[in-house]
Amino acid sequence: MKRFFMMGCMTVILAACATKPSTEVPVESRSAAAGKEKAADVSTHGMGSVKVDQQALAAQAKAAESPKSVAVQRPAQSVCHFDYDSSALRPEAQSLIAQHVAYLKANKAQKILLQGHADERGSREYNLALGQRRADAVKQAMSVLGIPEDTLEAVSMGEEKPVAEGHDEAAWTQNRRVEMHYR
Amino acid sequence: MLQFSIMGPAMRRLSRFLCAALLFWQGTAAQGGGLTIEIVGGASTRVVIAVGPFGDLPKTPDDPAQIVRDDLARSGLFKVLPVEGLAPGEAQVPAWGRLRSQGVDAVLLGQMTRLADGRIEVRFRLHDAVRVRQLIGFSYTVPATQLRQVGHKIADEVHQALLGEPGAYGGRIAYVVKQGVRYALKVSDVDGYNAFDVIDSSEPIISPAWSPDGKRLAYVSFEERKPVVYVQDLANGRRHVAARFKGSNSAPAWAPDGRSLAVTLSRDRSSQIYLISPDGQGEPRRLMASASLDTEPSFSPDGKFIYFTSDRGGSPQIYRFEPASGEVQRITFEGQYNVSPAPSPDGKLLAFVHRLEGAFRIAVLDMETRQMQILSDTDADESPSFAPNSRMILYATRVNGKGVLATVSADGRIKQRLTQQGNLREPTWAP
Repeated sequence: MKRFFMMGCMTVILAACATKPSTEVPVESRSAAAGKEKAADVSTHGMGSVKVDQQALAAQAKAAESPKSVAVQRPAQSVCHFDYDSSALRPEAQSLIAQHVAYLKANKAQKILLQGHADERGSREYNLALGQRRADAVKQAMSVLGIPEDTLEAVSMGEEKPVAEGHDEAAWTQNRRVEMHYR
Repeated sequence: MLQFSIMGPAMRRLSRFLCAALLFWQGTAAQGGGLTIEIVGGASTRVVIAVGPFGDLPKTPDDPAQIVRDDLARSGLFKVLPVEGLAPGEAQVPAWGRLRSQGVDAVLLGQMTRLADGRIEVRFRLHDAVRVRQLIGFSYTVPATQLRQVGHKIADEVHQALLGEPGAYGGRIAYVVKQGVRYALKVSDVDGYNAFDVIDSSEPIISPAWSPDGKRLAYVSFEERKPVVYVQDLANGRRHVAARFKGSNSAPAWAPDGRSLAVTLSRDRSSQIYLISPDGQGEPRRLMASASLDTEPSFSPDGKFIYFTSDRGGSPQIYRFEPASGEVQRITFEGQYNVSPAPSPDGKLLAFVHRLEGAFRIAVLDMETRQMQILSDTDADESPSFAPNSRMILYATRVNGKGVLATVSADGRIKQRLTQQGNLREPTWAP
């Protein structure tokens, strides 16, 4: 609990810092709401906290954007993976997200569908909600980096669309993921 | 004294169901019993019953006497004896001494007569073989197409008369079959007969939910690359979208009055439970304001509570929400994973899925004593649903890598396995 509280506080502080330079109205109003939400999360949050390292994300997004003269390519990788029962973004996920954010900013007409997935263990509906939490984590990370709300949709496929059909850890590891689909 | 009772309103309801079943009959559907049902755990003491042939009518498409035999044998509570020595017809006097020496507890005799208008009259008498007296006797007059339902009705009456509690032979179940890359939501009789496809899709279908009047099914389809809740009328096959909001829409559960659906929507930043109109009109009403993951709503039979799964306490557990007061109470406390609440129709038990050392098992909580009992011996269980008599729980599990359905009695004694070609999942027993 104490750890969640401290992470929650840090996230609130970082959220405030990271969004100050932005002048887009939607981002500012969203981060005000995000600030309130983080405060609510501190007291009631369960497992799988949305751990968004704001400074790291902002730094990676800047790095991805810097070759200004070159057209931004759509990243080849579009899947990030998660630990069991968790929706925490791994460092490699954060860097992948930053790359996609750079692409979206250079191609503002594009929309992106974030599909969250869970491994097969347990109830289908609970796994649907777990997949949703993972997709929401990626959506949240993209939105604090300045991608508008109507560009993003986060949905869940639960355990229904595995990429690996086995009933073992190797399959489960591959299935806990968020896929990014452009449309 | 022979008692007569023509089940008027019940029979009208049955005939409407059967008209619906016939409208949707598919030539490729399994002729007869689509499901193979086997007892894998029976009672140690069973009532011994001899069921005589229902005399007089030489040929009907279905034989109610055989349906009674199959139903009672499959329940795990009866031992059904072969019929040698019992002549057809309901008015005969059996050789009681000989039957008692075979250990027979009860004898069922019946008769079928074709009436002038083409309908069939089915009469039966159930006798106590030990005390040599009639227990019950009823008669039904139906079109020949309803003989299966009559057989199930008689099995229900025999079960009630001999065991003192209602049977559950005449109901229906809905379930999903996955074969290769195709998914079908099917409805069938509890014994697997009269199966028809509600929807056949190349994308997954989950969470079918019967309306309280048994006329509609709500379900979640992934045909639009995200979960959307549909409500479909079983009689005419017409469906409409009940919830297609931004994000995911799932876990439909009908209120007991059939006038609202509880659903899980992710439109407001996390998975939360809302009430919507089954016709999809109007704005959803969010029930609780939490930042946690809330899902799997399930109304108590009296409508006073909505049970649900939430991780607000740090792990997935079952809670219940009281709409009248807005209060939330935690219900499960043992272990780190309790999900999929399913209250019994009589309100006395709550079935759910409990994870024990990595295995997912069906458990029940006695709502009065709050004692938990693990019922199943399989370990990949999901989707529990009670029979209307509150005595049996239907669920899905995996055996040797294949999806099958299973039942377990509320006391854990009787176990059945239901299989067919393909992988079965998401079963739900009609009210």
